[in-house]
Amino acid sequence: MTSNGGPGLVSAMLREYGAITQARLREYLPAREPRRYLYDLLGDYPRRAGKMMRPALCIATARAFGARLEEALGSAVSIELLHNALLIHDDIQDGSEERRGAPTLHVLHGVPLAINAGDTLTLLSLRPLMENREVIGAQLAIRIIEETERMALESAEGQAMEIGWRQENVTDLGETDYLEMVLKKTCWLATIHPSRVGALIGSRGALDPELFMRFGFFLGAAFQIQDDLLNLVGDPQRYGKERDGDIREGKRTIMLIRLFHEATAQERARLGTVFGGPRERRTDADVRWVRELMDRYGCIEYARRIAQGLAGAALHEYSLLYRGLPSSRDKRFIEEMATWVIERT
Amino acid sequence: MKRTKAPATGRPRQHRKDPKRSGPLRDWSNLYRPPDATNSEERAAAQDTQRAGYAGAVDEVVAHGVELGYRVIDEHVRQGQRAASRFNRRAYESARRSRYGPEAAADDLTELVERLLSYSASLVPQWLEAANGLAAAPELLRELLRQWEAHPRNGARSTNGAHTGAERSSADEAAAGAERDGGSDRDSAAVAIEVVSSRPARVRLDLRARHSGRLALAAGGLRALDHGRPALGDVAFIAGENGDGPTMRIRVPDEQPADLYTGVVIDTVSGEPCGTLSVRVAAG
Repeated sequence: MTSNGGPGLVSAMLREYGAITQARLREYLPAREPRRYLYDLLGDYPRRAGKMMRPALCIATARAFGARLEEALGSAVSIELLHNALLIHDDIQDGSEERRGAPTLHVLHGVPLAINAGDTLTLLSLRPLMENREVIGAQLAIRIIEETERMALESAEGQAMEIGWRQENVTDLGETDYLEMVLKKTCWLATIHPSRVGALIGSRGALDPELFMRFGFFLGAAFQIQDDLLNLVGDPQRYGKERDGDIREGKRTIMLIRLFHEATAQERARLGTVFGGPRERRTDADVRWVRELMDRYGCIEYARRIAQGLAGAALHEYSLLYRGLPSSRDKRFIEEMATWVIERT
Repeated sequence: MKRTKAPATGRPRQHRKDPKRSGPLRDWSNLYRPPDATNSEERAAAQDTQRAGYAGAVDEVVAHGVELGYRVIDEHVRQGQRAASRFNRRAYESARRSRYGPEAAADDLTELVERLLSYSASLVPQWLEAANGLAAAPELLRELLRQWEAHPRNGARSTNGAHTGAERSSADEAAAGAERDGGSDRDSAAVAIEVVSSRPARVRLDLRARHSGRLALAAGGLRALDHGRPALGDVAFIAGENGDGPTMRIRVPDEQPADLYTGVVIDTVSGEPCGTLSVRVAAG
């Protein structure tokens, strides 16, 4: 059933396109000195078997619009290299200790070397984009580089918003603020950019990539909320990060924003104290208390229903974008992503 | 209430009317943005009206999330459009001034094709008039042909050379062969054409007589004069083998609007334009 649809199609195609992307990605990791301080570090995160959703979406979109796999593969590799680079930096900025079931890179090798490794992966992500000119032509290759520049800037802005809120203990956030931040920090790299680039490749530059903004946003936002939910309710071994880690980090999620909205004045005052100091001052008791409040006020169920609505909107936008295309495995994969993002565990 | 037997009284059998619906009403399509709504205010008003009709049928939290999402993304898209229009104005002027950017090259070629078409359209009546005149004066036509054949460019040699007329000597073939680079170098511009289309499509390929056989379409594909129409980009030139000429393959998507699409054909060996291609796609 996985080749024709059904519950296993997304997983199967993520594995398939992920393996192809990983194999090509390894060709861009130099095997030379300095190994111990740089090049041995670069392959660590890519080897940790992520979901490969970003490159898979890029490839599937391109193929759904008629491109060959080879025409999209370079861009898919670039996306995955940049994604891993940003993960390294993200873990440092969040003070995370675990990533994909293993210690984060800066825990293993120290912050300075980890920062340098992230910088290097960012630079290496340019190479496949430059080589694109041999595969899809110079004009389209340049266009994709411009798209990548825009995506990187949006991601940086989203990251700045999230860090700034935590740093300054901003607590009067609304759900709109959260979605704007997620749009920039998560959606652009995870779903908007892969869709835009895939469509450009598949249509040989004829399609306007702005058409994919809404679909990409709704898909990515649903994905992020589910990610935030898994941090609270998922199996830590499968999820790969510490349970309730987001509460400990003070991450602004839909659940936390909802909690601030629902809590009493007294509870809000204590929440402000809990999230007003550095992460190290947040105790296990603080984290447990916040989690209990979230459960009491139904914040987790609330966030789940928001995510369901966004996934439904993604399906609606998908139907507008892809209805004219012939039926294909890639088209079905993209369609089923909308439910996969909120059903995954 | 149903009766299973025909009543002995002869009165008509009673039966319950068929229910108006046999399942729950769940129409999610109106929850989301109507495809033809162009701004968030219209959309919000449309959604409010439709939602009122389905009061209680949709989870309020779900609806709230969707509404919020559309508000956020629509504002983001608007900001992007404002930024893009400012950037495009600057980039357009810069490209026009520099004449080096790929956009400028594509603009130039597009402009060239548009001018050629415009000139052709205005010249056709005059050509027809000239052709009629020639047909009415056969002596004039023969004289013109004799002068054309005698011109050195058309293969003629001086009386000190090997021959006159349009015959090509083996020396000429050798000289022409020196210009070849693995492609075909012929006096004729024979190109096989394959068209994949579900609708009638009239193709006109005008090539210069001499080209390397290595052909490509200029950047941007085939364009309609209305730039709002999508380009017809699926055009491939496949080099021939064993001395065969190239093949041009055109695929016309089903959704391609009916129109005339034109483009410039480039000789990839010399980098020079060597002809024009037009495809008139009929309405479905």
